[in-house]
Amino acid sequence: MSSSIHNPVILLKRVLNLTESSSFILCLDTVAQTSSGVITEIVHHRTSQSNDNDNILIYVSFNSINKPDWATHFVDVNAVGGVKKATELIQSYLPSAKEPVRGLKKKSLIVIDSLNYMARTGLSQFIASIASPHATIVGTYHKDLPESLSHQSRQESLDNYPSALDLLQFMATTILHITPILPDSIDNSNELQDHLDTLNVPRGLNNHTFQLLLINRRKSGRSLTYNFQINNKTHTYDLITKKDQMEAELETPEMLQDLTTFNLSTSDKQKQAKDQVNLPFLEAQQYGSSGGAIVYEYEKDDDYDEEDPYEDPF
Amino acid sequence: MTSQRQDLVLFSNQSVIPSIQDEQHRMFLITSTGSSGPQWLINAFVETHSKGSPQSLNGASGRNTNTNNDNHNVMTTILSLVHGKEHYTSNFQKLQINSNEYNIVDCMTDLVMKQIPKYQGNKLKLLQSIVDQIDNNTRQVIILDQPEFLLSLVAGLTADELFNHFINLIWRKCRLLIINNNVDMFQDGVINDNVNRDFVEFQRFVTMCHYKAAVILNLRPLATGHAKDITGTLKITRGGVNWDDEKSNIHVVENEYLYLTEKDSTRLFYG
Repeated sequence: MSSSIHNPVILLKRVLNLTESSSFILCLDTVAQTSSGVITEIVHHRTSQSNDNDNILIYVSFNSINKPDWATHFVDVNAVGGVKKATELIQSYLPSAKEPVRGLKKKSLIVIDSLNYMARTGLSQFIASIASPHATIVGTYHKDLPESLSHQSRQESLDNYPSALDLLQFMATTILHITPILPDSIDNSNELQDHLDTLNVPRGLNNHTFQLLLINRRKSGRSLTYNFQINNKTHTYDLITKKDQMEAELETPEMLQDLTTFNLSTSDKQKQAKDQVNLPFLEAQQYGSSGGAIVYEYEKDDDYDEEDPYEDPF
Repeated sequence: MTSQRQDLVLFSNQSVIPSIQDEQHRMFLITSTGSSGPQWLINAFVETHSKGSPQSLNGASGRNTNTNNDNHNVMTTILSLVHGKEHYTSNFQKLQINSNEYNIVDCMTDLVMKQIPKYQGNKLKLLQSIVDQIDNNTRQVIILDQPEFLLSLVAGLTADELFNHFINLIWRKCRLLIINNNVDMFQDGVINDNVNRDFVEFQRFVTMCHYKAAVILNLRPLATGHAKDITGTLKITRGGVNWDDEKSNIHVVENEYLYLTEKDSTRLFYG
């Protein structure tokens, strides 16, 4: 039963396999790491499992002229004459919605590249019209592609209409946030963003290994969120736990190398000695529940007068 | 300069333009600025397509570059929105490239005075008239020099229209499309306050190019300012599309070069 899945890697495999009951998978990417790695992975799962001819893999392109090798049907939205014609074409490739789901071996796959090229007012209608019990939709949305003002001008009367991203995230049953593993030359995501804002794309991006944040919405309304590191060459998925992330953020001697001519790093021996130093006031904390205990150790030169009532605070 | 000169290499088989075995259409994107112009790189691509390697770079040193003669006698087409025909012709004559090996479509000279008034109000027909000037030969390489100018020159043209009714139609006519974008506007980062329509459409167009390109060649001046023996840097990175040609089994080699342009020659060094 899908609801009893507790292993995040199995859940991810089921999502990529299209065996998880998720009708609309939304891939959110940027120029730094595009969704092509995830799409390749879904197609790999799909094609490696069966060689049968009833595999229906539809690639809906709003902006690319290339038909992927794996696609059984290629729909170039502009070439076919717009969204309405494309919708009819996609529907014609899919099995009839009346056909019983159990009668078919596998779900069809509809890959959309990308949803940025549609006006937001038409998004929900488009997704709803191609949705089918026999198909899973995998749509890409580029987070860093600004929305065209020509799209917005058609919607001037809809001031409070949600953004395209908000709409898609609301509709999606699974959301995959795709981010790159930062190359050594980049310290953090802010620095990466600064580079991308000036169109100075750093080396080491769009790699075979990348990070994936999976948000899977269950039928109950609960969301499962996991972070993975994916290698789409070896097809391996590693779960990234919070502990791993904290360890990655910890200071390592390598971080301090080459920063200055001074030696800022600490050796293992120095670290061990540092850990053995007894810090002051630690003893007071051991009293725990007694609360407020004051520990005072008399020293040789302390001047203590037994008759002075204000001398002894105890 | 005592540094060792380097050959321009974009792919793991030491090539600049590899021989394309499949039916896919590929795109390279050059992003340049006013102070780090792309002409020497455009020359290198035309020379590579014509002679097999960029022989004039580094003073005919190109010893390690994989010479690819598959494209010999196949036309390179340059469609420019910024320079007239003479500009490219004189450049290619200096490189001793035979004039029947390239075709220059000059969109700049008559565009504002003749072409735009002629198609007044019908921007898509104007774009189609430019596209029609390019021959249909899928083995050719087409170089588009600053097509983003059309966003400013043609009233009401959007980035999506420019891509769907111009770039994609040209792209279908070749295996490899090389686009040069001037990105001076982005050098101070994206300014979110007060962005106008033109800026958003331009940003959208350039970002779309990044998503469609397999290779990004970023030319920029030195971050530290002017240097007597270095003109700028050339950074080669992977684009949004994988170069996944399974037959040739090659990949993009990310690299960063320093370059020095003097008069008619350009030399490359490792940074």
